[in-house]
Amino acid sequence: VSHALWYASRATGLVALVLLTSTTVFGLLGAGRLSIARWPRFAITSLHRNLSLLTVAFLGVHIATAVIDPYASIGWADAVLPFSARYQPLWLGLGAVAIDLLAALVVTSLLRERIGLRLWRGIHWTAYLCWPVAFAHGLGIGGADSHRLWVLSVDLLCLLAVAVALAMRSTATHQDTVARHQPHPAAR
Amino acid sequence: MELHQLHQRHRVAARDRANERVSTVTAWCAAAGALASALFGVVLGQASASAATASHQVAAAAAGKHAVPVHRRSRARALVGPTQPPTSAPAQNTPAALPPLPAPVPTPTSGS
Repeated sequence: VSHALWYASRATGLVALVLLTSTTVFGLLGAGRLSIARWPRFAITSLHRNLSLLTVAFLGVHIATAVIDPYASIGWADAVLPFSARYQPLWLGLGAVAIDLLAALVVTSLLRERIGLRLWRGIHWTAYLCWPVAFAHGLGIGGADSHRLWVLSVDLLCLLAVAVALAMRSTATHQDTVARHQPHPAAR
Repeated sequence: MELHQLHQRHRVAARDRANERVSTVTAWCAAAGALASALFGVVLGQASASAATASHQVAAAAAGKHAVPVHRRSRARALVGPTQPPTSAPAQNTPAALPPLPAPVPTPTSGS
């Protein structure tokens, strides 16, 4: 049972990284106001939200299996308090940072109507930190499993997907974005 | 007026179709994620098990002893933090890894 928990934790962690990558990609596409006829912007935003909740579900399983597995003796607190664990403090700490950031992103998105757009956007900028931290956690903590060719291929595909989406986001132009950067007519 | 209503109806239908598409893709992602988790778990487990079998056979042939399985060793290695010294590999403790004994010195058997 202990081995099953160990591999379940590894597997769900990898799937959670893929889902987090998809969430990040759709978030970047939505922020860049990119859409196609069959996928309007509101659909991309909805998919971004659904995938983020799915990521949280898989992360829940990832954390639960890691904590229940007695081998590494990871506590529930270690999953949320960065750099407090005895087991691989640096890499597990990065995972805890990623979870804290993701929790902040999800909670503020669910409360977006109440907290206001400005605060929500400010907190949502930390998403740019969340993905690389989670990626580094996956690369570092996996040990021998992380260095298998197919695992590295999955990691590389995730990296490429985010890089392409980031490039599209940074080069995308939209009349709203252009207007935001121009001085207001009343200020002239 | 009718044209406007027709346009409005068309937009609502397009929105409904997009929402349906989002639900379908989300459901597929959830199913694919669950399937991928199971598959990744099995592949990781089998890779470790086959490596353990190979290591077991090689070590047993070399030393005539039972070797520690690779998956156990990888878990043990994962526990080694930056402040702890790395544990020695079991292969280093086998007789095959020890330095060869010096050749026996011939001793005189009879006095002359």
